Amino acid sequence: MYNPVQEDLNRFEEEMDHAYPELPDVAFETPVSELQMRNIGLMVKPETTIAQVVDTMIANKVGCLPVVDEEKRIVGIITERDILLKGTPDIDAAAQKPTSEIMVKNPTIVHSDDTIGTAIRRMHDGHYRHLPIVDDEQRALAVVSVRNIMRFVVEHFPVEVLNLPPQPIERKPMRAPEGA
Amino acid sequence: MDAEKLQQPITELYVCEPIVLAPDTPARDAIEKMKQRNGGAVLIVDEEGALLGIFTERDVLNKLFLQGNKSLDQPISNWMTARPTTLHMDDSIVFALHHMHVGGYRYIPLFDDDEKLSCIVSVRSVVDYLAQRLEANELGESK
Repeated sequence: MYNPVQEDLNRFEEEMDHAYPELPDVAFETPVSELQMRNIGLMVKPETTIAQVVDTMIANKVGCLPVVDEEKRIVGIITERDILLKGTPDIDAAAQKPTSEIMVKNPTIVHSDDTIGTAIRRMHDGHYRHLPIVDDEQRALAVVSVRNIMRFVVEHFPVEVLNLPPQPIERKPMRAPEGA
Repeated sequence: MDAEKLQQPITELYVCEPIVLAPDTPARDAIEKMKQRNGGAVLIVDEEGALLGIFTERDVLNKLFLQGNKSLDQPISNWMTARPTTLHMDDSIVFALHHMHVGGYRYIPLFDDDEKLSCIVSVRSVVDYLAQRLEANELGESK
């Protein structure tokens, strides 16, 4: 039997469901190039020294740079992990080496029109924290990082993530370490 | 994915056992441990297991590379970030996202109910969490 009150209630509940924020599946179909990235256009050449790479990473607060040829086509990638693995323990010698000696050649990439979902899957499958984004000519455009993906999630839940107390309210204060 | 998922405990994300070192460990040895264990961070604790600081790959770049080889013989306590932000294993994912986003932290040490250092969660865990969900929904092209 038709019940107009129940009908209104159902409609209200349905509207409330849609009022909650969510990260819909369709968001993962957004092109990866639409993510907010601070390293657009940042790249180094194979002959750039590791000292210069470190300076560039620190100045721009990035942990990864694409390595490109004269035509800006990607030839490798260098990350702070590569510098830790191959640039230590002799830091002084490593600083003078060309990037080509430490970079990872032929890195896994994403194209600018690949989706955010594709970037996430490739990062997960390959255990990568960074993927260079290239155009149709394999020219480097930027690097997508796990931090960019995390920010993408936060953007969909700004109220939930940003309006928080420093620690969960119900928990007692953390034990402060002595002498730290 | 809805906001309710963010209220699940952090341990729903992938967390791993931390590399733990004493404060007088030379930076050289700390880096060697990071290489051996494939870790991006080490936690520095005192004799009683209280957390003193954290040392990450970013510190190698920002601090040690600028100082050169002589920095490697100094104790890791000279280079660590003291008193890092921590959470409990049963805190919700939303708190980890908050600190990673607002504080810019890549690694957050987690304590258990007995206030003992238990594990560490990283930004990468967020990507792995999303990837599992994409896989379940058959979204995103795998490599």
